[in-house]
Amino acid sequence: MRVAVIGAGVIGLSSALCIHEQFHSLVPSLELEVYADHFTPHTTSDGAAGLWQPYLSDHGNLQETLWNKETFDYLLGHLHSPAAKEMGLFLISGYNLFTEPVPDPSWKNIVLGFRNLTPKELELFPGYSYGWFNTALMLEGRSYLPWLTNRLMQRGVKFFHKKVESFQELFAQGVDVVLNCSGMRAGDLQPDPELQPGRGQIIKVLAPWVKHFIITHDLKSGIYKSPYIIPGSEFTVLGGIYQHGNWSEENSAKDHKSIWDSCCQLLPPLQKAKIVGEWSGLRPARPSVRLERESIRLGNLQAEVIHNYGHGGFGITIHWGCAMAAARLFGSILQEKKQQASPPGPRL
Amino acid sequence: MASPKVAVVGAGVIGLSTALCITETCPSCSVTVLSDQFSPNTTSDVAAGMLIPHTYPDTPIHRQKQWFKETFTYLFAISSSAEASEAGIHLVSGWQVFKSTPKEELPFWSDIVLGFRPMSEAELQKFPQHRFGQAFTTLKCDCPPYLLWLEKRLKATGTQMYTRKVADLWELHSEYDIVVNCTGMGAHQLVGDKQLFPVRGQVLKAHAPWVKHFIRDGDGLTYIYPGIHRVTLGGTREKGSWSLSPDPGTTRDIFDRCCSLEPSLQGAQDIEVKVGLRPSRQCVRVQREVLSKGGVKLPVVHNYGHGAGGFSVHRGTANEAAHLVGECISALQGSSSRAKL
Repeated sequence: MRVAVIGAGVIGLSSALCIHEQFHSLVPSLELEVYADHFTPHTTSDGAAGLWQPYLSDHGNLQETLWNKETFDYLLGHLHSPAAKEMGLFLISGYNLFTEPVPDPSWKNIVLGFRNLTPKELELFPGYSYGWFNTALMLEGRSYLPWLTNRLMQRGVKFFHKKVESFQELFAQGVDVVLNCSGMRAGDLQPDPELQPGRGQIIKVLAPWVKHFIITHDLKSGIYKSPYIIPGSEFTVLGGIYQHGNWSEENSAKDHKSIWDSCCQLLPPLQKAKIVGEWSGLRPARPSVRLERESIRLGNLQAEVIHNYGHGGFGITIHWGCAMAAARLFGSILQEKKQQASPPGPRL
Repeated sequence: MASPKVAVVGAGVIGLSTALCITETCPSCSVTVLSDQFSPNTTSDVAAGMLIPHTYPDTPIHRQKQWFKETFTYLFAISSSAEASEAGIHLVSGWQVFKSTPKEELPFWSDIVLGFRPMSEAELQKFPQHRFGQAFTTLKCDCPPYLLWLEKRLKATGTQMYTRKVADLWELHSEYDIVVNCTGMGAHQLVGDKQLFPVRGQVLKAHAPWVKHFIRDGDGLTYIYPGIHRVTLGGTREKGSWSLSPDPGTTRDIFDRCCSLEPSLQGAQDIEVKVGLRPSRQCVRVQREVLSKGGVKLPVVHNYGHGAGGFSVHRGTANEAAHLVGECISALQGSSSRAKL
């Protein structure tokens, strides 16, 4: 049973690990392969700051809220394990700021210690009159992706550095199931007008005195268009750019200025921070995550694709819930193949 | 008295902040700081500088609260200014956890720190050996940066600083009009204060930049305080011990206790060991005194004995000491005008 995963970002690698963990002992012939043209540290996941936090509103998409919760609980369970440091996993607290009162988010009971900000705390942030404080998790892609890669390599999963041009290409080689975790480039494999880039740009600075994340919100503009500051283990990420439909991965001087000025205004001590890098990336945005099976007829063969892409700016936040869901879909494919292989008979 | 000459003895957080307050309240004063040690070799440099007050048994609570409030307000303003990183001042959130519920669930300072509240059940799961906890956000003064920043501010006002061991306050009476005694543990010998006693603290300073929260066991013995570049792991409270030498067995014990609160510290690197003697007293001595010898008078303002709580109340006691210096000046001016009559 050959399974090919397309994509080596957080979605591809975690889906691969989840499937291998659950099925390698049940399916002795299971061969898992990862195909990607970019590996860590050059994936979209590597550029993300790594903060676990869903968008403000789940738009009634309870499935995604559940996947977010699954991911948080899974990571929280690993917090005290010896692997935590290698995974790039640690607790972080911080502020979400608004210019007007807003309803509590779907994730208020998922994170720890969620509460409203006190008037004295709001004095720290002139211009903002309402906000939340909570404790969440950081999962730094720069550490998590290598950790996932090591776990997979230990399990004998093979990696191929190549750009897959079509699902057919893999099926022709004898692959039985394809996991499509191609993120932003899913449209190259199968057109999907709902998948659009949500371009982001970030500045990396050294500001080790910053111990909290600070995320501002401008409800009229939309998510990530307002300054945010996220301290990591080695550097702090400054951001606040979300450009729908912009495919450019070049750093823009105009965006740099916008990020720098707005973040320094939000946190004046940043004026003394040293800039150590800059990066642009494309959030694979979609009205909802595409996580579903697709059967593709190839002559007299039925080939199976499990799509798992379109996680926008919350890939890290939702990844494990989606990996588990993808593994369930894989399980149902296995079940069907078993039923097709053995003729129907009395069930014990 | 045109330009009173004030000598501040001691260059830890108390000496430097008191000197700075004096320059602010008495611009005409000429202030000189004298100390046998400057940063990075003061007791303050060993401390984590967390704004979590120590309770002095014999100082009225309202006075301690006032000191803490003034200190917190002063540092809060700096923490959100462009000077914050140079001054080493930053906000930090975290938890104080208790193995058994404390008698006093609401400490006197709970409304001064930010967002003080009991921990939720979910939060307490991170600390399986502890049954109760408090979450809040407070400030931290990293040393040496904070002391160096105070020195810089002092130099800008024209304050001179000299390395000098003062063995007797009377050494200073011919050069200075008023002496301010901020000698911390040194006051034991300098003014013979037998109520002052050391409480030895050993700490580790480690590189663990993924630790973003403070964690303090309510018993005060085990704590994890993340600073700008290093995390302070503590500690000990050895009453009456004068030893400044690090003890290897203690180092192991501190590390183990901290790892049991925060397992990820197993991966901490570059561990340095430091020792400081908390200059402890039943109450902080912020007090005027006029020393008298052979008809000569020497006005002295004492500001020492802050024990485990120096950073938490430093600005408040410095303000009070500066006010007392003002009273000394008034008294001197009063007596000099009487002399003229």
